[in-house]
Amino acid sequence: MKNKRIWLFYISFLVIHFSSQAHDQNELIFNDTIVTISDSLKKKNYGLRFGFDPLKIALSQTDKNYNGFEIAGDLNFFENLFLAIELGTEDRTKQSEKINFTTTGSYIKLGADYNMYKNWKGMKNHIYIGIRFANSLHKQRVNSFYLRNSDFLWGNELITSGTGIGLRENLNASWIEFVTGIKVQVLKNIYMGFNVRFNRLFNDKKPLNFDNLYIPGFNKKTDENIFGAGFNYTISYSIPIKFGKNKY
Amino acid sequence: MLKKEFNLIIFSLIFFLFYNSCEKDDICLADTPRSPRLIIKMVNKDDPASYKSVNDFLIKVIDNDSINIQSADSTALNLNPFKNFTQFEFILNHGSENENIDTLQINYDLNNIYIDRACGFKTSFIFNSNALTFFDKKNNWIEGYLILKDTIINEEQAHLAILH
Repeated sequence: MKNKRIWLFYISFLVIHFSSQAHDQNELIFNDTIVTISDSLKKKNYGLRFGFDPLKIALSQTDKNYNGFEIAGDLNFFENLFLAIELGTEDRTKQSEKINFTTTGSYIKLGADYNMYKNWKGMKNHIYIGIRFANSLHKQRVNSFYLRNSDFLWGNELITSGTGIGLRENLNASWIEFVTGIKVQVLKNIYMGFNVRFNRLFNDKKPLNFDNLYIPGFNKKTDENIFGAGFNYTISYSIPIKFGKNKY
Repeated sequence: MLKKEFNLIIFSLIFFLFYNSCEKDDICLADTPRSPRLIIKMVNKDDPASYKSVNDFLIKVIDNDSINIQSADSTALNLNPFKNFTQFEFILNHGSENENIDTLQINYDLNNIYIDRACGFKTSFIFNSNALTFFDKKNNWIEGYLILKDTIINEEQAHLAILH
């Protein structure tokens, strides 16, 4: 009999416990509806974001053969879709096997990103895939080279003047990029990101008696094929632009 | 989800390392044409269409003592790709009492041609209007010359015929 009461005492505790839990769950469900309501309102907050590539700035400071700058922007125009743009300039001197050359130019990349990452409430991270249509305007200067000779009868002098040396202007290239990357909110409205790009060249205006061995924005172009690759770091600041009523 | 992000970063970094390493593109293939040599043939002064051998013929490259080319009726010469002339001694009856040395200079313009990233450039030679100048005009065994091709761009055929 005594035992029975003790059990009842315990069971009542459990019941209270479960019922209180059930009560919590109700609250949670209630909260969830609030969340979804506020989310649906939030969709009207068109996020405009501006950023730059910190790696390019760091390289410009440390590498005397590189000078580059890139700004990037995106606009959250619909749910998980972002309109994306990148503008940049590059001035790079490269030493290939036998040729030393300088590529100078600027580029524009326009396209869209799709965010695949389902954020929890309050999070604004991105794991995205995207596409860009890109165009560059650039020039190539051959600084010096070694000749491919029959033998070393006359040695192998570095050639710095004469035919082959000099500037080739008014060149351009267009290509498409497939982007995949992440953006993580590190501070309120501040994002850090990283992405990799696979590029496919459509066409390029080749310099006279030389080739576009490097294309600003596209990166190294190989002789064998029209594919390239690149990567970017970004630090960006998000400016929320609010449309419509903003009750919450 | 964080693990997924981490994997993406690792993948990207590994990809980048590979991307930056050596490529097929960086190797100049051995059979890629080089700067061409000048192909000369020794022909009969009365009948320039027919070869005529030179007795104990030796060519010395001036400024480059180590190079002596022995030949009979045709040979390939390396022109200096860093200057617009090269000087030679064409020696008849080399080593005998009646040795005859004609010293001459070949004049040309250089035209460097892009090959590809790995091989760089090669040069081609364009004969000047006076392609050959002789240093002494007395007692020359070479009677004249004929330009067969005014641009030396490959070694497929003779560029210059020497009449004697």
